[in-house]
Amino acid sequence: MIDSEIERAEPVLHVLPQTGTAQQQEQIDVDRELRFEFTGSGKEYFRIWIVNLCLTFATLGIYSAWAKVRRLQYFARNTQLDGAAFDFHGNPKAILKGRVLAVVLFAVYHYAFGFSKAFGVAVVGFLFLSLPWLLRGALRFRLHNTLYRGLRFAFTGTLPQAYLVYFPMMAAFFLPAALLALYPGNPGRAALSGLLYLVWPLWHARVKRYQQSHLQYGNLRAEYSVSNGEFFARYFFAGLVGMLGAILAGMLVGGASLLFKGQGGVTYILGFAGSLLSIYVSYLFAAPHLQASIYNLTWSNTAFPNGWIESTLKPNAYVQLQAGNAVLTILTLGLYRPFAVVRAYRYRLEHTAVRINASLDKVTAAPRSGAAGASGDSADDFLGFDLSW
Amino acid sequence: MFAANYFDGMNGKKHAVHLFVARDSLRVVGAEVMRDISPAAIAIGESFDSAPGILQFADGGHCEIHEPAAKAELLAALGYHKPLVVR
Repeated sequence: MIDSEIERAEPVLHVLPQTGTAQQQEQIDVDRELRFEFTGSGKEYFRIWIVNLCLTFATLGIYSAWAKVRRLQYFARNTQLDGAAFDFHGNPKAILKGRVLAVVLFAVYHYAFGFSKAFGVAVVGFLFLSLPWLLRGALRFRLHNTLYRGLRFAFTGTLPQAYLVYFPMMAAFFLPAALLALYPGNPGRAALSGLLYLVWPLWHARVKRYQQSHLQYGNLRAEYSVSNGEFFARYFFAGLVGMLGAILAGMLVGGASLLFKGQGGVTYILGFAGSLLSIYVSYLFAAPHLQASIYNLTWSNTAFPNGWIESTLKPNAYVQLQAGNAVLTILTLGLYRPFAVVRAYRYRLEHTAVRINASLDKVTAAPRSGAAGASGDSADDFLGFDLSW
Repeated sequence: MFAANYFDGMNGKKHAVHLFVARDSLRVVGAEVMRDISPAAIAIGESFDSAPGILQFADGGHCEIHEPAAKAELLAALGYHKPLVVR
């Protein structure tokens, strides 16, 4: 620009808009509802997405770490609250390290049973044991590198808590398959362990409690209070919605099969395709319904000192939006995907608000040692590393 | 002169400031702010279409430029070039 503007800097001090006394400013700032705003677009994100995709393929996956940072920066910087943007400061090299480790672990897992059964079991055991550590590390990395008004978010959940929370969920998920592999002649045992899925909402509630109650923004720690029963209720309603989807798909296929009555082969194929369609449609209905209702439940019950979050997603509208996104993504062979991501993200933001009764000016950066003290390990442990997708 | 918001990285206070670009520094001037920042201490975030321009300073502070025309002009003045993957 022009150097002479530097000389004009001092007089500018006299023409800057006056913001009033601190007390007046305080009154303006407090007791307000702040709405999120998203300034991005599907068209712009498509350009980022397609470049990310091509470069990731061209570099055999190496660029995916930089792609992830660009994606997160795009969404963060286009997200505004109270006239200030979010930002993401993650280092792509840290993400690349995580991905290299993931590839190594996958390769070891793939070939482990080729060496010996004992080595294979040891590798699977190691992966199983390291998963809570990795999940916590991913949360810490993501939040530590997300900023708003120049202040970092943080995740303060401890490692022992991570093991207590994630282990039951992992056990419920893996146990049936593990029992089937170990006792192939006794499928009843595996089926019985599948009953653990009935309490899946309980594991989900525990994970969400761990995640939400250990959020931190600057020096503000989140509080979270949701009973486990609330999760069972949401799963129940989402299950009903999924059943409705399956019935609708079944009726559609049933109607189609009537048109081909007497043509055995076509009816057989329609029946098979109909079953798959019913399962997919059921998922298409139930998953977004559950996602929206859990999103409302968890965020509306997450509060910071002098600040409350309100999430008002409409589950049925969200199902429609995501069903439309899925159909368009399939019809365009995946090219609609970035537009779908932006639509869903924008919808969630437009239905989320923050109510505050104290000025955000008063939030301060968290002391470095405070984060370490809370988590019981060094401040920088694993913060330069990310394994999340 | 460019209107911007300045955050110091120590608290959440938003400072309305004006930015002045010179050959060897960026001057940040506001009611409670007066800083000269060397170009070497400024990292310019990728400029997305409608997102504010972000100037990240080495000491943890940063400026957000929300007005699109001002953002484009300021980035040009600072010698910002879009990365290869954007062009």
